[in-house]
Amino acid sequence: MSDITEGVAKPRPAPTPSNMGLWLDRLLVPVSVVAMVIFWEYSVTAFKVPEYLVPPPSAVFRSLSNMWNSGLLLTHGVITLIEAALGFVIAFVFSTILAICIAESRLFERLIYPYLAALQSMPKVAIAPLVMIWFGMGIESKIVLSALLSFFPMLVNAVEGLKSVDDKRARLFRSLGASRFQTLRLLKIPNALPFLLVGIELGTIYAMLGAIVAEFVGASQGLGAYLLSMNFQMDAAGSFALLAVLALYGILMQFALRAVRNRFLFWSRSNNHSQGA
Amino acid sequence: MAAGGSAARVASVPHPTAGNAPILVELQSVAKTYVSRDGTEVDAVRPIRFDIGNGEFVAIVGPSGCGKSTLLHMIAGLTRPTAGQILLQGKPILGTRHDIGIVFQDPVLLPWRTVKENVLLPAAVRKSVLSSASARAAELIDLVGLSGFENKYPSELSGGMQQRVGIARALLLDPSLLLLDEPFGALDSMTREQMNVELLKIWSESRKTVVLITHDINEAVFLADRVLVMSARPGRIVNVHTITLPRPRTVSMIGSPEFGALSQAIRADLYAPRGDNS
Repeated sequence: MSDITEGVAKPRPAPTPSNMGLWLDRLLVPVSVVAMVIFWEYSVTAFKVPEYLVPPPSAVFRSLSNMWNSGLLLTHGVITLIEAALGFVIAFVFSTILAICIAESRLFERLIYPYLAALQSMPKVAIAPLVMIWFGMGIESKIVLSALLSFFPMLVNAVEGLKSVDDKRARLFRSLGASRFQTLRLLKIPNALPFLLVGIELGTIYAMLGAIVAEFVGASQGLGAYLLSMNFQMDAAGSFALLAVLALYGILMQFALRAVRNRFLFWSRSNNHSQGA
Repeated sequence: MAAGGSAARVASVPHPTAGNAPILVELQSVAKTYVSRDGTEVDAVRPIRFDIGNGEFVAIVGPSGCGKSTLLHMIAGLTRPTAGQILLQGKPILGTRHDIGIVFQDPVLLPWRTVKENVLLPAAVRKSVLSSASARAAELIDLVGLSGFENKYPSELSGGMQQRVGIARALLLDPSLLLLDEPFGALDSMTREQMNVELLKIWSESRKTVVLITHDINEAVFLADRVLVMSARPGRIVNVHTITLPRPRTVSMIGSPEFGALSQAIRADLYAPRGDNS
C-alpha cells in the first residue's frame, strides 16, 4: 500500500521542443498570415488587378471599418446570428430526441430510415425557394432552412454516439440491473457527448450556411442580403469584408467548442482503457 | 464426475466464517449449450453440481475457453443456464441482482466519473439513499487503499488502482456473493501478487463469499479455501482441491513445500489426459 502513488499515471507533459523550436511553433501561423496579407497587398498593386475583381487587403479593411462605423454590420449580423441560433437550437432539440428514439428502438429506426435517407441525399439548399413560399420572406423561412441544414449532421453524430457503447460497459450495466432509462441516462448519453459535440460543431456551421442561403433567396435584412447588395454594387471589398466576418464566426465557434471540450470532455481524449502508467 | 462426491462440504477448512456455515450457493446440474451459427449445439459447460458455503473463498481454474467465465456469468445472472439451476440462499437466480457483486477482468470504469462516482454507480442504479451510500463508498475506497484518490478520474489511475475501484464498486451494495472474473489477469505479475494480498485483506474484513475465476494456479492456491479444476471445453469439473494452508496467509507461504505440492497436484489435473481423473 505504501507505494501506491508509484503507479499513478502522471499527466503526460507536452513534448517540449527546444526553445527555438517552441518559438518557431508559436510564431509559424501568425508570421505566415502576415506574410500572406503583405504578398496579397503588393501583388494586387503590382499586377494592377482591378479592385472590383480582387481588392487589396487595405481596401477590405477600410470597408470593414466603414461597415462597423455605420452600424450596418451589427444590425445585419445580429439578425443572421439570431436566425442561425434559433435554427440551430430547433435542429439540436429535434435531432437529439430523434436520435434517442432511433438508438432505442430498432422498429422506429427501420420505419423512419427510408425517409431520412431520402431527405439526406437531397441537396437541402434546393428546397430554399419552396421554404420561402411556405414560410414567407421574413425571419421564419431563414430559421427553417437553417434548422434543416444543421439537423442531419447533428442527428448522424448523435445516433453514432448513442450506439457506440462498449459491450463491456453494457454488460456492467446489465449486471447492475439497470433499467433501460438508467442505461440511457448514465451510460449512453454521457458516452455520446463527444460525438454530440462533433455534431454541434458541424451544426453551427450548417446553421449559418442555411441562414445565409435563405437570405440570398429572399430577404431585406441579414448578412446574406447585405452580401448580395455588395455584389450588385460590384463592391468586392465589401463582399470580402463580409466573408471575413463569416470566417471569423466559424473560427470563434470552433474555439468556443474546443474550450467546452477541454473543460467538460477531457476524459474522452485519453483512451478509456488506459492500463498502468 | 468428480464434482458430486468431493464437493460435499468444506468443514475441515479453518476459516473465519465458514466452519459449519450454511450453504450459500447451490449449482444444481448447471449446464450451458450454445447453438452455433451452423445450427449445431456446442457444449460450453457440462452439467456441474457444486455447493459453495457462506463465507467461503472458492477459486475455479481451467484452461482458456473452458467455460469458467460462462459459469461465473450464469451465477451472476448475466446468462441463463440451458439446464439445471443455481440457487442463492435457496432461491433460484433468475437475473442480475444487487446481492451479487461482480468484478470483470477489465475494470470497466466510466471515464467521465470520478473514482467515488464510479464506486457509487450501483447506488445510482438502485436508487438507494445516496447519503448512506456515499459514506459506504468512502469506507470502501479506504478499504481498497485509494483514500485521497476519490476525485481522480480513471485515466489518472494505474491498472491496479483501476481494478481496486472495480472491487470497491462491486462491494458497495454489500452483496452476499462476490464474483471475480480473472480480475488481475491484465496486471503485471508483481502488481498481481500485491493485489492478491490486498484481496485477502479485503476478504477477511468484509467476510464475503467469493468465487474467483483464474488461470493462475498459484493465485488460486494462495487465495482459496477450495480450488475447482475445470477441463478444456466442454467444461466440467475434473477435481476439487481443499487448500489446507493456514490463514492468515502470507506471501512467504508461496515457497513452502505444502504450497508447492498443492499447486503441483492442480497442475497435474490440468494437464492430465482427458477423463483420466475422477
